[in-house]
Amino acid sequence: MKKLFLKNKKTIFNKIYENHSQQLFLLILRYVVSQFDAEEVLQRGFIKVYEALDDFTYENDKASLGWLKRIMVNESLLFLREQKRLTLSDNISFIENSSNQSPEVENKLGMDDCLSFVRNLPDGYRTVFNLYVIEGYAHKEIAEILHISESASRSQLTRARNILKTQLKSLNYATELVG
Amino acid sequence: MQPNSLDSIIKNNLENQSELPSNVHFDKERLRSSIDKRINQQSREHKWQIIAALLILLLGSSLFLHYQQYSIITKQKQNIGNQEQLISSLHSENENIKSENYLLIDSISKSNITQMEKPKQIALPQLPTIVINQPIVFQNKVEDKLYIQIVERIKIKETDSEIPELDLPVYYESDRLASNTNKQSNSKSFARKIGKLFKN
Repeated sequence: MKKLFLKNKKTIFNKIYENHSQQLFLLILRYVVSQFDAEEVLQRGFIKVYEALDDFTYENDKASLGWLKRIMVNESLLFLREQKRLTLSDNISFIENSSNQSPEVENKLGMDDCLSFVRNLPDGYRTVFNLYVIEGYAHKEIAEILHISESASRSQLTRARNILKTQLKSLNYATELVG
Repeated sequence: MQPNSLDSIIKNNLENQSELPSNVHFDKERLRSSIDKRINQQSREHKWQIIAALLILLLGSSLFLHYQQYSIITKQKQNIGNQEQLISSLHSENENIKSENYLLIDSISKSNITQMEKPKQIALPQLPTIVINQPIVFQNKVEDKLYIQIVERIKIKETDSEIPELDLPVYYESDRLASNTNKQSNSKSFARKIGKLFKN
């Protein structure tokens, strides 16, 4: 019975790994930047997945993927904390710069560009940006996860956006130069 | 560009990104084998942890039992010690009671003896008057008294026997008075002769 269960567990784990490992690797890469670190976090995350499979009940693909993503995000944040890279300043005196200058290249942005933009952000900004914009967490939740205030989360997000805009501008100039 | 539009562009591009960028390399098989190794290692570690936990549990339980036994033994020893003390105290009390009993017995026996001896002590002054030939019963030192009696009697006998019988003429006052007359002297000499004859 145990062997059958273990065999079944291994089969499920293999399927999960085959179907989602690459996508989860890219998700981790948005948080930890380095490929080597991303591989380490992915391994840790999949070990957690293997351990948690006993309690896992399959509902649908979307829910399963959401569960896997949550595990990987948590492992990424844990890794960043271990590396002491997650030092977020609780600065609320940030004035949002909402310029309406829209570079024309915005629609030409590809996956590679977006990923490289995000990976170029500092650790704190990148983490808050990823959690808020891509994972869809609210500032309150981010504040709880990262042990910071909501205003700090907001300021980090705004700074991240400003840096992204700057990067986008530079890309615009570059494309204009190239074009 | 509005921040929200930038957010949506990046989100749309990255949210469900599954294709690897050109500058990113992902070795799926190598990572899989590495994960398998780590899982096996962890399961082995878990086994060792379980074994260690069981050993600790066994050791702890054995130590606990040993401690319990030790405490029971020490309690029993204490109880034995207390019991020994009680026994010794009981012995001493018993000895005291015995000695008291002995004293009581002694006093009772002495009183009995004194009571028993009292009438005989009264009879003691009558001792010289007791006839030897009759059986004499004494409770205390009968032999001694009898011996004294016998010795006294023997002494009396000896003194009687020690008196030498001398063949000397017995002079009586009457004889002297009678010697004044011949008749009287003749009759006395005659009586003397008869006496001698009887003696012989």
